[in-house]
Amino acid sequence: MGDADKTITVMNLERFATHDGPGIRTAVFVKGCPLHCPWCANPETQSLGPVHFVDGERCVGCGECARSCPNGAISLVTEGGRRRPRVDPARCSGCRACERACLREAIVLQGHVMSVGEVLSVAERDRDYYEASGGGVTLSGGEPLMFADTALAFLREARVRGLDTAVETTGNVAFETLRAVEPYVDHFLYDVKSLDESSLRNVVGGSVKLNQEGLRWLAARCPDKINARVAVIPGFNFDDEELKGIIDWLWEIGVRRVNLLPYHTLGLGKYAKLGRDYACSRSSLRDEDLEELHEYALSRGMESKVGA
Amino acid sequence: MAHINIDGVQNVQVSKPIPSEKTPLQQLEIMERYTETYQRFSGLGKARREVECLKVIFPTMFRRIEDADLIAGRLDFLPIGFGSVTSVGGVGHYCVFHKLRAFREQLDTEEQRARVDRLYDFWQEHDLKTLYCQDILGDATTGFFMQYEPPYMATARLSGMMLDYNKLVRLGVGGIVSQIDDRLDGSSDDERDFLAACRDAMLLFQDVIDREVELCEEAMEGASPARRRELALMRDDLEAVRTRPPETFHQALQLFWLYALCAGCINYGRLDIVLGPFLKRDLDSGVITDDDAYRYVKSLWTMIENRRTTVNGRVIVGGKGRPDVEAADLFARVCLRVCKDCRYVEPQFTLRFDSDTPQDIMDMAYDAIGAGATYPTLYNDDVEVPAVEYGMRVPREVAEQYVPFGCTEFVIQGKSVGTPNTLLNLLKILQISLNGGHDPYDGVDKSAGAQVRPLEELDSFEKVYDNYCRVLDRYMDKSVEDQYHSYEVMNREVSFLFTSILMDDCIERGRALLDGGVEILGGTNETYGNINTSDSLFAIKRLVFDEGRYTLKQVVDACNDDFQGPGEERLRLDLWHCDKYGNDLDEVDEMANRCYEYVAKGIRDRGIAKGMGYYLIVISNNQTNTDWGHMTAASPDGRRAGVYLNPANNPQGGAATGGPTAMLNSLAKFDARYHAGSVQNIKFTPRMFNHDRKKVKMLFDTYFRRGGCHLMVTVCDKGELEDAQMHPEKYPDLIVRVAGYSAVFVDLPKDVQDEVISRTLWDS
Repeated sequence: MGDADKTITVMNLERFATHDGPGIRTAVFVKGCPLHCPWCANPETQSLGPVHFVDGERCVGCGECARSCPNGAISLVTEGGRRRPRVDPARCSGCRACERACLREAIVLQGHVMSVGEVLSVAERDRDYYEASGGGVTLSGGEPLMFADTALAFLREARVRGLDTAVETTGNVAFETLRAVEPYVDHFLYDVKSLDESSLRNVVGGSVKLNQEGLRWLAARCPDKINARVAVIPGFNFDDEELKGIIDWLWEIGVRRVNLLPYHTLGLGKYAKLGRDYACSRSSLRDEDLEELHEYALSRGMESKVGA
Repeated sequence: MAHINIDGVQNVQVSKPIPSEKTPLQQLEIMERYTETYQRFSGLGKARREVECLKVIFPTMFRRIEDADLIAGRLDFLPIGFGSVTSVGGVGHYCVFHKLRAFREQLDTEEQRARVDRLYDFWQEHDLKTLYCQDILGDATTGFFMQYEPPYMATARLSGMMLDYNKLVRLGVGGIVSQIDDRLDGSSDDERDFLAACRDAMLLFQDVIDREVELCEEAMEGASPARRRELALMRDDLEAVRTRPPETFHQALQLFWLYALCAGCINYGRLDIVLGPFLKRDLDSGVITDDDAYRYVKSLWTMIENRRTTVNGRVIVGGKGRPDVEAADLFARVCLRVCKDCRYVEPQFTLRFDSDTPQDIMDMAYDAIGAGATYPTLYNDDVEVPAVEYGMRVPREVAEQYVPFGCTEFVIQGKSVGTPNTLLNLLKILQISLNGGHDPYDGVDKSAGAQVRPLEELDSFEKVYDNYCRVLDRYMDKSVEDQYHSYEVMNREVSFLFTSILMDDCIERGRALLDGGVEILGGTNETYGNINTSDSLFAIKRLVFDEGRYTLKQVVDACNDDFQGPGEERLRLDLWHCDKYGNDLDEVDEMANRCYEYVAKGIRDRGIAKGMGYYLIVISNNQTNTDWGHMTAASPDGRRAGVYLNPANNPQGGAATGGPTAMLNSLAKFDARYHAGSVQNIKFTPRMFNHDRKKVKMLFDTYFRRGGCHLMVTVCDKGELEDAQMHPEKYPDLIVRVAGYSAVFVDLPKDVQDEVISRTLWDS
């Protein structure tokens, strides 16, 4: 099977993505992530199994979706006095019968399986925009490097088609994967959430060691490809000392570009549609809240930007 | 002859007009005098009658000067009078019946009201538009503007005249009179009637100037010293241009403005060419300062806004074909500053640009748009000029003088008539073709003589398409005849003297505008529901003929039930989720293009065959897409009955889901050579437009390089429009681009608000 024929589960294909690397880009959000950040703005990408959004405002609790499901994967539960469907991912085959049964379009299985070739053919339609702006395609997620072979296929095929490539990664990936994809990646948008092993492990399930090892290697090998991304999260890392520590460490290992990303709540509505609670703050940070950190990064000689 | 009563609303009016300064009784007397004059001079030639009637309303109807005015000239109009367009008054010798009835209620006595009734009855037989309607109306196929049951409307109006103001400022009043006098020597009888009336019109124009001088002097009484100095300048400059050509920016501005008022023109055109050189000279020589220039232009902006035409008021700067680019750009920059600061809904400020446009002008334009002004609207000369050259069959240098008016229709400034007097609802035509010639909206036969095949015979997609074309052909045949006939009727009744004087080549030919005077007799046809039609055809092709998921009968029946029957909502969702234009999908975009080219070339070819300079479709819309949608049955694109039609050639609200590049890629697919303007709307949040400005600029630049002809941009926040619907009092100056015009959002009717909200808002 050639690279173009490999399939990936695309949760969202965003054209004119302006915050996922340089220029005008097409961002491809794929499924699956080893972490479980409680503030994740794309929670539907986290699990590997099928995920449905149920729009509580549209759903009238009629049960058509449950009746239509050939696998009996949907049951109706009562929440807050209203009946709504709950899907057992273990039994769902992804046939979308529930979607067709729902005339209110309240239940939607997230994501579509597409071949790498299909995805890139869509992306190529905006080639003129990339060329004018220095843009291209961005592989994002989830953790797009979780599945090494499909990520590699995507990036290699993009390279064959002459597209500029970026990867947004948590850095919580096998070192060999990073090494394998590196030649086909023009920009690494690399998350650094914390330098503290226990907080990273306990809160998001990640490994500082893995995260740092990967970035160190990239910084030594191809520093120009790196944009470190520091999402500033109240109650997690929104602490002067901790954040400055991250900047210092980035500087030490040779990273010269950093994006400081103020916490936002744009993903909040998705939690409701997933029937999940949202545990983080309900108010976003403002750009100004990161001004001091930004000044600090600049003073260290970093090329710093608030926002993506 | 069928007696037609066209009493009713005749134009889109969102902005609230300023009431007349005259008392009701004075107004009544003027209308009576106008009517008597009309009667007295009937039989003495239309040109003579026209100028005599004009003498009744000019200079009488000019208002006093307002405190902030820096140029003189405010004009009222009455329910009876003379004009060119329905937005200010009416067409030719007109009566706007519903306004006359409303006026009647302001009167105190029965005797006065009876006098109004007599006027009403008289004009029932003589209003120009009524005379036209009597000729063309009569069955269910044709409506007057705005009568939406038929799939086709025709009207008489002279919209979008953009005069040769260069000639005015070059020759001055005296020079024009001399030109007429020269031409009068040795003229034939026919020519003499017209030319003598033109001469009298120019003398009447001098009376208007004299009246404005008086009004300046009246305003000086009791004014502050500073205001007196301003008024003294206005008075002196009025006197300066009474006969001689203007010498300063202010004089040129003054002369242009008064003339546009007298001509009843509400689109002004390329003022940077006309006024730029005066501005430059004055600034260079220190006659005025930058600040003066700004204040004068701002005053012009206010005067234009106060005319409240809703869908007109075009001021155009930039682009190809400007003799003194530096001076013109100087004027353009002043306009851009004023536009950003004022945030008025009119003028419809328009920037023509090309690859040579200075970057600072583009930046100022984007700044104004980003500030929520909705202006300037952007026209890409690199695409439009060659397109106009082909479409209108004119040489390049003539094409360079194209100007969009109203909602976007093009004319050639000073050279062409291009009024959109015919309008087609393509979606209704498709529905008629699918229902044996009957409109499912009301069950009435509107086949217009086409041989419509019954549904059972439509066993291939090509037969469905061909059947649609058969009905459309009949309506296109009607369109060109009715468009042309509107000129015949207008020409029979009036000469449009003030317009003729500044249009090539009426004076030299000694003939009125529509009497063989105008160099290029063009015209436009507004097409609606373009995308609903092509999306409907595509859904039929895919779901019925390619995939066999439904029969054609099932689809048509479901539409005719408005999807209320059993299982029909599922069918509707399948129709709605079928690929839609606006997402950069080749197959469905090709269907849109196929439909576009069929109607665009059909209209164009018929115009050529009729001997017109051009007759082209425009894909614009004021709010007609919403209004016509109310009377259009549910359609196979999944649109429910009564819902607005798609705006211009943009996707139906909610159908564009692939991001702005995908939408713009679809928009750029139509070949601009076959239309005379196509509105391309796009809506961004400030977060995207302002924070990602560089990328948005690259987005636009790339779109334009790919052949995009035009863009109209609204910048508004997510939820802002919805909130404004609930709390209008909080949003008195929230402006949106409806389509071919901008409006204060909260002034729009609820259904039009809903349509604007339905359009995809791009956010980051």
